[in-house]
Amino acid sequence: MPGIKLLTVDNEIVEVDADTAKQSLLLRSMLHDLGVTEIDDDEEAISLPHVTAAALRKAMAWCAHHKDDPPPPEDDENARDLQPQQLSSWDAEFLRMDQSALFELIQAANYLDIRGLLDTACKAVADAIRGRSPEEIRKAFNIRCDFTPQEEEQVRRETEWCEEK
Amino acid sequence: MLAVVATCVTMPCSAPDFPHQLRFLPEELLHRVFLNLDQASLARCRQVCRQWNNVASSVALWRRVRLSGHRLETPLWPALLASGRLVSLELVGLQGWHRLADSLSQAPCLMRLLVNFDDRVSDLEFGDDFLSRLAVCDQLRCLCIGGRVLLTDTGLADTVRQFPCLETLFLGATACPGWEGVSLAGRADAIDLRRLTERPAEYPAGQLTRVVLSGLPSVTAEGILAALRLTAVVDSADCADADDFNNDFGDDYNHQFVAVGFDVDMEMAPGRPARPAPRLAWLPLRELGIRARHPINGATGLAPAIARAAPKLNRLDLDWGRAPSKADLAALAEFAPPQLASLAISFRDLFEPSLTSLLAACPRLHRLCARDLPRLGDLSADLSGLAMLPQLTELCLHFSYGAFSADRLVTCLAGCHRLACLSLFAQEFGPAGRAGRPLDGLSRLLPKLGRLRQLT
Repeated sequence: MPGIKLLTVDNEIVEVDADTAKQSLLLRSMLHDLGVTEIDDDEEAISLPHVTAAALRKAMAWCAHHKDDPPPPEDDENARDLQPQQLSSWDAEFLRMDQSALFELIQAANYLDIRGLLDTACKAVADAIRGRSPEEIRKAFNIRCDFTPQEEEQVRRETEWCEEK
Repeated sequence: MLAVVATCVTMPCSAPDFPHQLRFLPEELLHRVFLNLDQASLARCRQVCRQWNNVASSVALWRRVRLSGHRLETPLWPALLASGRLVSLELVGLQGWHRLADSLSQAPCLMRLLVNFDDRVSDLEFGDDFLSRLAVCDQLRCLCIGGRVLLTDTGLADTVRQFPCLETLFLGATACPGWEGVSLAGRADAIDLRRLTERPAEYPAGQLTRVVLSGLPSVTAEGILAALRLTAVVDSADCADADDFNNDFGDDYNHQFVAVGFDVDMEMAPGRPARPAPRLAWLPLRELGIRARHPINGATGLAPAIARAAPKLNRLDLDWGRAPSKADLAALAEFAPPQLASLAISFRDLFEPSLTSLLAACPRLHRLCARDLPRLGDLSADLSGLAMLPQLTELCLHFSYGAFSADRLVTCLAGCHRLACLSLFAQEFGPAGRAGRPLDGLSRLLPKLGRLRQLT
C-alpha cells in the first residue's frame, strides 16, 4: 500500500496509508490534484498547517477502523435528527481522551474534512454536556461566566419553558 | 475563523494553564456539538456564558421541541418556527388546535408531531377537519394525538393517504410515555374497523406499520385481526389498562410498540375455514403485543392467527389474560416465526410452564421476558433450554410469588455468554433464613457474564 508523508504544524512528518488518508476529503483532493500515485522517498511531505501530529495519528486510526463504513447519508439529515444515534462502543472508547486532545481532534477532522469523525467527536462532546447544570458545564470545560447578573437572569427567564413539564 | 483555529493549534492546547478550553472550539464547531443536544440541554448551554448563549440561541438548533400549549400564544412560537426546520414537535396541554394548524405551513420538515390536549377543555373536539389542515406536513412519520378523536372512517383513510411517509399513527392517546393526565372519552366509535377492512384497496399499505386507536368501546377479535392486515396495532384497551400495559412491559417500547387489547373473548369459531390471506405477504407488522383484558378462550387459534397475520414478526409480547395452557404454549412453539428476536410472555403463575419447545422454536431470540412465574425451583429444568440460546442479550424473569434461588439460575445461564442485561424481580430472594446466600450465587455468576452491563 503506498504511503504519503504529511508535515504537521508541530513540524513532524507523519507517514500515512494513502487509501486511509483518502477518507479525508481534503487529502483526497490534494492527492488528486498532485496526481500522486506513489511516493518516492525524496518526495516532499504535504504540509498541513492546522493539524498536530497527535491529532493526525488519531484521525488516521479512526479512518483505518472505519474504512469499510458506508458514507454517511447526506440527504436524510432530518431523519437523523429525529432519532439521534448513540456512539458505538468502539468510538466511545476511542474518544476517551482529555478535552484538549478531543478538541484538537475535532479541529483536525474539520480541517481535513472527515465528516464521520467530526460528527462522532462532536457527539462525544455533546454527551459530556448533556444532563449537566450550567455551573457543572462551566466547571467541566473550564469556562468563566461572563454574564452580568441581569443578563444571566434574562437568559434564565428566556429558557424557562424548556424545563417545564 | 481560521485565525482562531490557528491560534489554537499553534499554542500548545494542553498547557496546564490554558484558560478557557472549549472557547477555543470555533463557534462553527460549537454549533455542530450543539446539534446533538435536546432542548433542556441547549437551555442550560445558553446559561453558561455569552459566547455559548450566542451560539445556542441559533434557531437552526431548535429542531426538536416540547412545549406547553399556551406558549403558542407567546412570541416564543414564531421564533421557534423562524428557521423553518422544526423536525419534532411535542405539545402538551393544548387548549385548541386552530393556532397550531395555522402555523404548521412554516414547519415543512416536521416529521414527528405529538399533541396532547388539555383535558380540562371539555368541549374540544377535532377530527377530519383538523387532520386535513395537517396535510401541509407531508413529511410526517409519526403522528400522535391525544384527546377526543371524532373521525369518520373515510377520514382515517384520508389521513393515511395524505401522509405518505407515516409510520406511526396514534389517535386518542393513552400510552405515550411522558404524557400525563390524558383521559379518554371514547368517542372514537365513529371508526368502524370492519368497514375499514372490507375495502382494503382504499387504504394503501404505504409505509404505515403501526396504528393505535384507543378508547374504542368494543371491537371483535376478528375485526382486529382483519385490521392487522393494513394497520399494525389496534388498542381497544381502556386508559387504565394501557397504562398498566406500559408499566408491566417496560417503557423501552415507546411509541414504537403496538398493543392489542382484546375486549371480547377470542374464540376462533370451530369449523370455519381459515381466513384467506392473499395480502398478508406485504404486511409490515414487526412488533405485536397482546394483552387480554379478559381471558382469551380457545386461544390455540391465536398463535396461527398471529402467524398468518404477521409472518414477519420479530417481536411478540403475549398475555392470554389467564395462565396459558400447555396447548397454548405448544401452539405458540409450532407457529412462532423463526425470525422472532424478542419474546415476552405472561405466565400468570402457571405452575409448570413448559418452555423448552418454545425456546427451541425461536433460535434467533435475543430478548426473553417471562412474567408472573412461579418460583424458580419448578422452572429450572425448563430454563435449561436457555443453553440453546447463546446469543441471548437480555433476560427478564419476574417471579410473582415464592422464593427465588440464584444457584439454580446460575446453572441455567451458564451458556449465555452475551447476556448484557439481566433483570430479576422476586418477592424474596433465597431460602428463608439464609438471606445473602442466593446473591452469593449471583456474584459467582457475574464474572462469567463478561458483557453484562445492567443488572436489576
